[in-house]
Amino acid sequence: MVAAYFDQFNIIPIFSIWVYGGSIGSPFWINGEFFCVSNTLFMMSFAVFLFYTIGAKGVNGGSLIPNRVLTGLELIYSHFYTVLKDNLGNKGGNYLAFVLSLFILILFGNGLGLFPYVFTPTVHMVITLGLSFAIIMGTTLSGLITFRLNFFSILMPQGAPLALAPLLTAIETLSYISRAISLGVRLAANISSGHLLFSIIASFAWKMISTGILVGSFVPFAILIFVTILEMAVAIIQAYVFTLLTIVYLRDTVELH
Amino acid sequence: MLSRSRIALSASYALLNASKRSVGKIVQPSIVILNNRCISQSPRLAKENAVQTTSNRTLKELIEEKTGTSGPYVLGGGILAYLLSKEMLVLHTETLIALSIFGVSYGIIRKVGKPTAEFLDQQGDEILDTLNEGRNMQMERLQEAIEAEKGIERMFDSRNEIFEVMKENNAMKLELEYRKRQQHVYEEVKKRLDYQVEVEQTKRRQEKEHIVGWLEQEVVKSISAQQEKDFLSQCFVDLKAISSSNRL
Repeated sequence: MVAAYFDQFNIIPIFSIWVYGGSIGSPFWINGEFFCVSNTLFMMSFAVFLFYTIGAKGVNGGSLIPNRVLTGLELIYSHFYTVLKDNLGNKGGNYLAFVLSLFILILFGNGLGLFPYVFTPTVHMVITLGLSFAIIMGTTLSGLITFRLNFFSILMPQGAPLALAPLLTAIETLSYISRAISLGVRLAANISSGHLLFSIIASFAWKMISTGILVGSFVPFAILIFVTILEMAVAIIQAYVFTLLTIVYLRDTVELH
Repeated sequence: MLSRSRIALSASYALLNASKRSVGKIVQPSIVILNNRCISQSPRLAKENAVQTTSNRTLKELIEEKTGTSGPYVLGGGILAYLLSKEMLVLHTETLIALSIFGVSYGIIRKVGKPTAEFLDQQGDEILDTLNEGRNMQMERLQEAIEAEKGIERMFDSRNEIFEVMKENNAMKLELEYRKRQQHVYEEVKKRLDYQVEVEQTKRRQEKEHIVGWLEQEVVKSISAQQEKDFLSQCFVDLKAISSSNRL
């Protein structure tokens, strides 16, 4: 019964392309599933497509005066531009497209997942850790290219006594590496816990209704409504937090502290 | 920044459309007029001014026209009942989640939908005001220039009035001078006439005096001594008679 609550997180292949070819032992031997469209890929593509549809509606034929949709999008755009400018200075504009795309993908992924029967891609660590690892590796590589070996100065906090340098450097290194893990796990854990809470409280309420305790079922239903509001807020906040932390981590590629 | 990006977006959109229509030709994009449609109209105003047609009425209104007020609800309820009875819509745990999600979404839209829409419309109106700022300033400047020109025109109108006043003034001065001279002529003529009258009267007076004097002289000359004596004695007699009559 407990496993039933986790069924909503199953990755289901929708269709696969199987390839048979080459001889065993040759470097070009492929024998098996070459490409698979799963519900994860479908949902992330749908999120992108949905945003494209909303954005296309907002464009309004190139009008100078934006309609409501485009005004909302521009507010998000200007907010992130301001945050990037504050954190990264003049080079912030270079990362705007990436940061906005990340925010929209996670926001739409989280938001769509709130609806019933809709799979949430950001529940899986493979997605969130994939994003976070890519971001951390990207920022590290970018920092190394920009500052070369001076990049490692971020591992030594400013103003710390020199005697503590070895210990502090080790702690800072662990902290830097754990960024990748914490960034991804935070998002996945929050979203998955929210969905689990949904299914547990809803099944509790449904059990009460199906056994005839109608009046008593209002209590879990009220809690469910509260959890719904909470989860809607969490979906938006977690997308924002992920993006904001990405901007903070990007600062290391622009300046050393 | 936002206005530049919007202009860039509309320019790129215009270029895209232009390139679709005329491959191989370089067409200068028009930012303001795009596909013969004004792109600087506020969407809120366009919506308010839109004519109510069949295409922009909601499904509920279209059904209500034909079936009455309860029609859409009966239709919705009937469809729901059909889906439930045929087990196309299965009630289970996810149904409660769906109820919760859609109920909360509806509540949020009802609560914050209108203020959010008004805020977003306000942003659009501010952008329209910013775009119109230059135009409005130019119109104000032109209006001030028109008022200044009208003021100059009014100054010229008052100049005509001054001319009229000066003309009247001159006419009055001429009239005054004419009357003065007329008066002077009258006085001179009267003076001469008075002199002639005076001369005539003096002549007559002198003639009269001369005649009276001559007559006296002649009468005195004509009175002899005896007549004088007789006259005097008669006078004494008359006086005595009068005095005696008075005593009585």
